[in-house]
Amino acid sequence: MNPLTLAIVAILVLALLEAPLFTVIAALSIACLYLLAHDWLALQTILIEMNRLGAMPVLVALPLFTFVGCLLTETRSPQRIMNFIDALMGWLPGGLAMAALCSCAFFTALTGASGVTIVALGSILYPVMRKKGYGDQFTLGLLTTSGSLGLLFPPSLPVILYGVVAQVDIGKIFKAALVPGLLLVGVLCVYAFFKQVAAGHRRNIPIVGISIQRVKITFFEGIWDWPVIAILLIGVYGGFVTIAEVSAVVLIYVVVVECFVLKEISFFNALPSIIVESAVLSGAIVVILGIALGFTGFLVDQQIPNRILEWLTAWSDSKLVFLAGLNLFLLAVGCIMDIFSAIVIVVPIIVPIALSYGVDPIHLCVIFLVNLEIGYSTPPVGINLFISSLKFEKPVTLLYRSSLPYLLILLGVLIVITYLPWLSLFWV
Amino acid sequence: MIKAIKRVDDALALFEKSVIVLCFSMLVFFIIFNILSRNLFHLPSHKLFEASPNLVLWLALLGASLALKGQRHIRLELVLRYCSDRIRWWAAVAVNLFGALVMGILLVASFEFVSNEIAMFGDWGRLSMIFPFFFSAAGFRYLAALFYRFASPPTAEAAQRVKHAR
Repeated sequence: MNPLTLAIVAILVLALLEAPLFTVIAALSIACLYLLAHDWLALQTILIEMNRLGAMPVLVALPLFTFVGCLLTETRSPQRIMNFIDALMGWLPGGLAMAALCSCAFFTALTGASGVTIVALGSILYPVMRKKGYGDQFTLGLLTTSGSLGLLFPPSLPVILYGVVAQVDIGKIFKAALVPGLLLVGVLCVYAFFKQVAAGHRRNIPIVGISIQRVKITFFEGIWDWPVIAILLIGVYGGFVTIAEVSAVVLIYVVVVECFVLKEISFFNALPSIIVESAVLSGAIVVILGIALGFTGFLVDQQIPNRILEWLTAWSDSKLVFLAGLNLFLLAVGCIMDIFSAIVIVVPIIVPIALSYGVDPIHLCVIFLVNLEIGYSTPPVGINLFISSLKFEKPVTLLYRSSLPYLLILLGVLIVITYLPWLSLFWV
Repeated sequence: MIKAIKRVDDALALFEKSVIVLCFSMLVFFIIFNILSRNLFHLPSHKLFEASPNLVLWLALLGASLALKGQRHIRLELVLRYCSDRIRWWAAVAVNLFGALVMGILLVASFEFVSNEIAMFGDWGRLSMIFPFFFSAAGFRYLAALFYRFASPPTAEAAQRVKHAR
């Protein structure tokens, strides 16, 4: 075994021993750059590439949106939005489940981290859904899978990171991801509806009408929250300002409203700690991105994507077969890897290969994110399953069973999204 | 010894938090100033906007250093959850040694990088001082975690004590 192979094996063992991923990638970069060139100066590549982050204006949106997500987590905003959606849809069979799906999607889009959604909204939704007669397995499966459901909607951090890494227009990705995102939420809502209609028939539960009065009250309770959604939608889909500027405008609005209008956050006491918290969260992502830039540069220099492509085309040159293989690979990646690390490490390798198979780069992004979204809840090691297991104090095997119907539905939607590219690209 | 390390660790964290709040406030100010000057006064303010990603780099590296203190970095959590406390303890020791070594190598490389940047870009090159700062802080945090580990035997009670110490 040559020294480079030995070093790579040792580093991978340390990765399994839970060494922070940025350190693992830094070590891989050092090993590959130094042991191939035997030149100390080669290590400068890592720093030069990290410094390149300082010339990426789009990266500005990442800490700002992370801050908005952290700040809103500390307020009653998610509860107000949940109340309104519940008033609007809760009267339908499965209405509360639909409200939960929509709220989780909205909240995940803001926080970007599915674990946060399960922890924050799960504690509110689980007892309420159980009290309203939803089955334990149905509720657990719903909350586990919906923890990653909003990753395709603005201002999703994984979309921004994908745009940065793959050098694709972020506004276009958000546009392309809108219909697939709505489809994912919509299909699960339909499932919840029919499941509860069937349960209602069995238990003779009467269907009550919508309360306009309650809709009005909950709407006005959240009157200061709606402009956040409006600014995001107009900013991202309107194309008048850049993503970085949208993030700054949303941030100023949220700070003014939460600190001075609703007074749910203390400007001097709570805000600095929220700033630090968001810097820690975004720092843990950006440092991987910075260090991985050097490593992926090395992979490209060594023509690793080309070699994989040669191997793949020798096996099959069909785009359909490639997409099927890509889906299986990405589901496995989503299962074992955090979404941010997966984007940083896998995207630079996948993109040139997919392009040579004729896959549209924006469609590829949608496929990539949907796979990772589903991978979060895929047994046996999807991270959402373990977070739910801890949060709801249930055995992880029960969560495997509970998530299965949702996973099958999501996989069906994934196939539709993969093989019908116009669904994503018709208005981009 | 442990108390002294902890004191340095806390002082470093306080310094990092203060700089983070400052950088973040400057970042928001720069972008808002850019939007206003462009749309209301029709003035270009490219220099300020160009400085923003550099602030993001500072914010990210300081945040990443603090994430090490709180053990909040992204990891592949696949194997250790099924292992005993003793194995986890030894794994943590190996990981901390490994981390300190990697950060040490990058620290040495970063000194050369900073001197090159200053030679090429003058005072603007000093912005890259964040690299040696980050690698030294991260290396220190890995070593500090190692000391915390050695101060406690590999038992469940010790794991609790380490948690409280942090």
